[in-house]
Amino acid sequence: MIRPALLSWLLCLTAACGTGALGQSRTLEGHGRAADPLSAPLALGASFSPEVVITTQGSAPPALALMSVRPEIVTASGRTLFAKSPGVSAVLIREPNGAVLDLLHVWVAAPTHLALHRLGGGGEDLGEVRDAIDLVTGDVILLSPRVYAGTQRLAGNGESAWSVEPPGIARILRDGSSERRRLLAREPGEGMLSVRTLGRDVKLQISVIGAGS
Amino acid sequence: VIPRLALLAWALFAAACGPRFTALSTPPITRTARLDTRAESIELSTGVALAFECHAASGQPCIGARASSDDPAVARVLPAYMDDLSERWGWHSPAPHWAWHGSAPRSAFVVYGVAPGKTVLRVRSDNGDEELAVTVID
Repeated sequence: MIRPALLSWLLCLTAACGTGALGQSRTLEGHGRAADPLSAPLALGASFSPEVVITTQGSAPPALALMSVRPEIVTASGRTLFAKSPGVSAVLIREPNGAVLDLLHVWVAAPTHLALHRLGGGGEDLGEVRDAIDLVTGDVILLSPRVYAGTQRLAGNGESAWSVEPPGIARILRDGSSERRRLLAREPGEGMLSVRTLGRDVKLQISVIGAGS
Repeated sequence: VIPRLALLAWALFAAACGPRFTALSTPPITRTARLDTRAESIELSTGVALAFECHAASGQPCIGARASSDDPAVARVLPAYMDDLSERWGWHSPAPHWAWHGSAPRSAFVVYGVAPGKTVLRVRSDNGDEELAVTVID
């Protein structure tokens, strides 16, 4: 007869038991169906608000807190982690002033470049925008900056500054998310879209033509 | 007679021994988190955490275990909750035999390195007390 604890251990060998070192939690980047386990370093200067899912059996977890063991690398405030300097720090998922339920080692890395990605209407990633963008007046496209260290995309978000020169040809619209903007083509002309976040810049040439051209 | 004496010696040894410790987590890539059960020592990188389990010499989870660090500026320790039961078998005497000890909640802790240096973790439990030498490296 297989005892319950042994059965649980066997299940852990054959199924995903979570991303925490103790296999009792998943720390997800994003929310809902789009959520993925945290699988990359945090970008230096970024903030990261994970969705922590506790996977204990038979009991919902009590109120939990995140605690960084090396605040000079990562600080934890409420449900958000802030990447302060390159390195690694354990982040404990614990009852406030109580037991640790799980832990995750989080790395911080400095971004080496910034790319703009185009998103679909449902937020799906359509890939990096590498060349000039041609738009017809009235067109709206959704763009999102993504920071990388080498080939690895970094996690977290930072404040971003967007501008179009000359400003008349297109307008940048917020959509309630810090990491996305809508670009609305307004008047025919040639220009440059500039984005700066987490210490990196990217520029893209844009061309707007009239709807009747 | 000799086997019985050996068993008696083993039983006395087990009764005299304090808790034993087993690592439950691995270090992050390129960092260190190592528990040497024989040497009763832990080596950790700064900022790295290691979960470990406390069990009595009989193999049963420690009862009433609590841990403290002599120097929290070097390493700190917190209790950990394990959503799991420990399956343990033990050697019983007299009339020596293996017996299933039953399932019991596991007793665990998380230790993490704060700054390079050396300190001692002291674990006290109803099963006895034990010390772990902790070295935190950069």
